[in-house]
Amino acid sequence: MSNVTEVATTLALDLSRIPKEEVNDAKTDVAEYIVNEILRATSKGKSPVKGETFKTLTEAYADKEKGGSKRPNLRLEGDMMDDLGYTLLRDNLVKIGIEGSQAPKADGHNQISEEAKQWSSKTGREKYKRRFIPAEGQEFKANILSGIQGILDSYRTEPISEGVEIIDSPSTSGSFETVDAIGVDINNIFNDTNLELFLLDALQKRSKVNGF
Amino acid sequence: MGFELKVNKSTAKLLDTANIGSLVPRLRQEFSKTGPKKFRRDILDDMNAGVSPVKGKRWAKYSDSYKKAINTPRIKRLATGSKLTSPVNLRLTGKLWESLSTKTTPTFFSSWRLIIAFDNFLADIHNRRGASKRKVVRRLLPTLPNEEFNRGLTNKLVSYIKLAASTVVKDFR
Repeated sequence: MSNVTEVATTLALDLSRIPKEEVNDAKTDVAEYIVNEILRATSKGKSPVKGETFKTLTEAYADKEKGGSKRPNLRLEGDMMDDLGYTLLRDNLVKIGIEGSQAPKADGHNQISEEAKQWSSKTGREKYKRRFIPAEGQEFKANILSGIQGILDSYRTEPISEGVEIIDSPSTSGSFETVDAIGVDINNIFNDTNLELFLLDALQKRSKVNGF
Repeated sequence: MGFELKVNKSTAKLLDTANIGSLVPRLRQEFSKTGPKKFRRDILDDMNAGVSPVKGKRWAKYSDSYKKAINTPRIKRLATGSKLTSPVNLRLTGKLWESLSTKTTPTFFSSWRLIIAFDNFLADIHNRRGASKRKVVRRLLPTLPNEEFNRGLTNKLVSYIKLAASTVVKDFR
């Protein structure tokens, strides 16, 4: 195992037109989203990194450790993925990754450091590279990048344009409703005004396609 | 989650003549067909990945003593998955998971609602009261003011509404 103390990637976010007082919220929102996307992808045996795939587990290993499931979810004891986190750095930077005692294990899976690369080459384990943190020159998959874009866009102030503009902000927040069941109803997003906006959006898209 | 819409001139013209509000009940009806079921699956997928459905409320790790306790053969027999300690997915027996329901009230009600609920006492323990002696709270649903579903779930929900909307407007003139 390598001696690295951190396996991480640093992203520079486009924070243009985001009000200063909301920059930290936007960075936190993005960082949390990326961490969740990494957890989601890996739990399904998929790499969140563009161009990377996870090789399925060998039958012997799957039988011994995973109850027969060959899906590589990078969770044996769970300690490594539990340590996946983020740090907000200066300006427009956020760091996503694993620091501390779990970093060597993460490096072994990601095969990012020279040490890890040499070790995997020596032991013939290159084929078991399961990269969930992009190395230099790599990036997250397109769906994650577009999710990041969407989050940042939701914080941006829009320049005043000439056409008609309708802006609203539905959210999925709820209110505590019941005692016996733990429930929430997220009806803000479903109110008449917001649903009309969704319909208009669909109409616009249809008109673009069909030349309405 | 912000939803933003800029209406172009042709649609603005359409707005003058069309009664878009009349389509709202149809949109709710269309969404009700598959949206709630898919959203339930999404919430459980997130829990399975160890992701809290609630924005900003990452789940605490299981304590070492709990991990040790549930890794005994007796408890393993009760368990629904092969791995108990990883990730934190609140799925020891599966009863909490099974109790999650998503449903909508009939569309003819003016106060139409999508209701998402766990009907199991464990939900209240995890979500509000706190589990074990340490009273660890792991938020399951955004039931407190100012809480909301995480970005991934909100995006999914929005995509289901958009899909339903595109179906509804297909034959709209």
